[in-house]
Amino acid sequence: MTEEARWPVDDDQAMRKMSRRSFIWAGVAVAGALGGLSWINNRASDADGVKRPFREALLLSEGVWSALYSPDRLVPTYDPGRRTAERVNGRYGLTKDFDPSKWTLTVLGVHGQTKPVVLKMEDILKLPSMEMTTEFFCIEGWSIIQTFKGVPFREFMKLYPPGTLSGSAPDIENRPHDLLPYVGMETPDPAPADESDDSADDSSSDSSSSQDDSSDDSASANDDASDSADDGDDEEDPETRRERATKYFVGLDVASALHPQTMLCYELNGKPLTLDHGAPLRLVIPTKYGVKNIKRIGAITYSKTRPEDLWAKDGYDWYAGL
Amino acid sequence: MADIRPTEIQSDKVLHKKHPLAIRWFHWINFPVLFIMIWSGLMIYSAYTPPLDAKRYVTVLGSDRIYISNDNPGAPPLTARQDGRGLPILLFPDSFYRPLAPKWLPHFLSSADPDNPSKRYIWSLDYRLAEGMGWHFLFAWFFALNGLAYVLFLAVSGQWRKIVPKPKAVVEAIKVVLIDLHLSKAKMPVRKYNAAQQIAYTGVVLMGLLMLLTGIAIYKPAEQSWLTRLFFGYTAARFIHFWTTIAFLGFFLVHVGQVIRTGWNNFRGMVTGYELVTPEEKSLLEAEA
Repeated sequence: MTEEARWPVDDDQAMRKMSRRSFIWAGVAVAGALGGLSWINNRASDADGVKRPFREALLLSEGVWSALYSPDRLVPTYDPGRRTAERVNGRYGLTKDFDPSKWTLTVLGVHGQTKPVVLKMEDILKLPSMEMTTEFFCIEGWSIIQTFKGVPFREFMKLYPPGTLSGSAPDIENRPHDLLPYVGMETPDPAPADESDDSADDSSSDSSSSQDDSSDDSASANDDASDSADDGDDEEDPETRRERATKYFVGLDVASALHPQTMLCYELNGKPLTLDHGAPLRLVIPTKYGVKNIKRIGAITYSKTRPEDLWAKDGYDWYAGL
Repeated sequence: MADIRPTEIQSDKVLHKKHPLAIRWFHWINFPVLFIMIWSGLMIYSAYTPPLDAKRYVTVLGSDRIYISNDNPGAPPLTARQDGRGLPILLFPDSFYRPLAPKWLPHFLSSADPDNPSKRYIWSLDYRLAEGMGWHFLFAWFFALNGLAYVLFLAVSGQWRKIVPKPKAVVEAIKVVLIDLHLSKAKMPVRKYNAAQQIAYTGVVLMGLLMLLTGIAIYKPAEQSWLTRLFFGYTAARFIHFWTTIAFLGFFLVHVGQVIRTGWNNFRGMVTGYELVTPEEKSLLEAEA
């Protein structure tokens, strides 16, 4: 009623006056909102190709969710009877010149080692193994339930521990915060560039195969994050595309790497991994999207700085936690 | 209750405070935020739209018939659900995600990449998953906080009494719908919100909560797997999330239609906070508060 008292005129006039004022405010608010949206849209991307406001939101969410999260909490496991069909969805980094019999795993940044540690398959098979049936989530939005067998990465890290920030001996159980905070993984180096044209063809066929899932039948088409996820494919220069087709790399935070269900996997659904699924050794990390589950690991690097990540460079969340 | 017909005499009308400032802000903030959530959500949905292909998918909504996997022709047939591809409903054809630009439009206005006009348009929704996730997970915060602030305001200010339907609301809501459809000549109740509005406005708040919860179930199926399980798993959570969006669009269409029908005085109320009413209406409205 106080408003009425302020205008000693009839209510129609008062209404008109208020309307004018309110709609001017509304206009300012609309202009402000449009300005805000265009500000967001024009923000520069960070090194990972994510616009700053989006990155801030991702980091905020990551902070909230990791505060709610206990690293010991396991993802649900299922009875193998609930397994769904296998699916091959990515071949980046799986060059055709690869000879599994000559495969080795190079580990860099191992505590007390100045040189890279080079492992063979028998070194991996000696480690304790585990089998689990978990749901595998693609960033595209589909999921499958599969049985994975392999070495818990935690066990691997006990034998080949990363260096520490303090320089003292690593203690995975009691002082994980002192470990080098990141783990990078990459596929083996491809053959020299002139021989890699075959695999570059895989990548260019991506764009023709659209995002229709029919492409998942032809194993040549999709990628772990899918061609549909790959929103800049056609605009890339051929050099970058060749590099993407022949090399896959992911970065992980050490806490996720130490999660008890993170594994170096060599068996899928009771059978040895096929080359399409990343033989001889791939990562299975059910707390992250499929994009982090790198196939055909050639090298593992413990590092102090955040490793590059192929899909993060394309604008996806680096953390990619589920 | 309302036996008073609005009079036709303009000069009789008096000011009535209808919407508090806070509610007007919550309302108008929600409008663009919800638009951005749906727009970016479609970018995400387009990356995995369960396809409907007669040869590969014979599953339709509500049933789960046999699907023969082309990946593994020798294997026994799987249902679409076993195959883990979700419910195969193709709601949007390609032309929805990428409507063609009219020929007369200069391509710098339509192409996302002026150097490559064949590529896609600014308004295309496909091949933008990373961007869609960026917008979705930023504006989800605004959606959640604005919704929370609205609910808290309703609770603290007592405004909830005008919105939460009474037990008898269904009967009145049916009457209101009949009046709106010109099937009844009864008089509209004179209150801030009639029962049909109360049900709609309370329902839409619950839908917002459902969106938030299914959204988290989809976003964190490992960390918050209890929530994903509450919605019967990942695929089902996505399904609920998607169809609640469609329900939101339905609400939006009816809401805008009703606002247009009701007229300028009512619309202006959501901007200025005031409405012009007859003195009789005013006394009834104030009696409600």
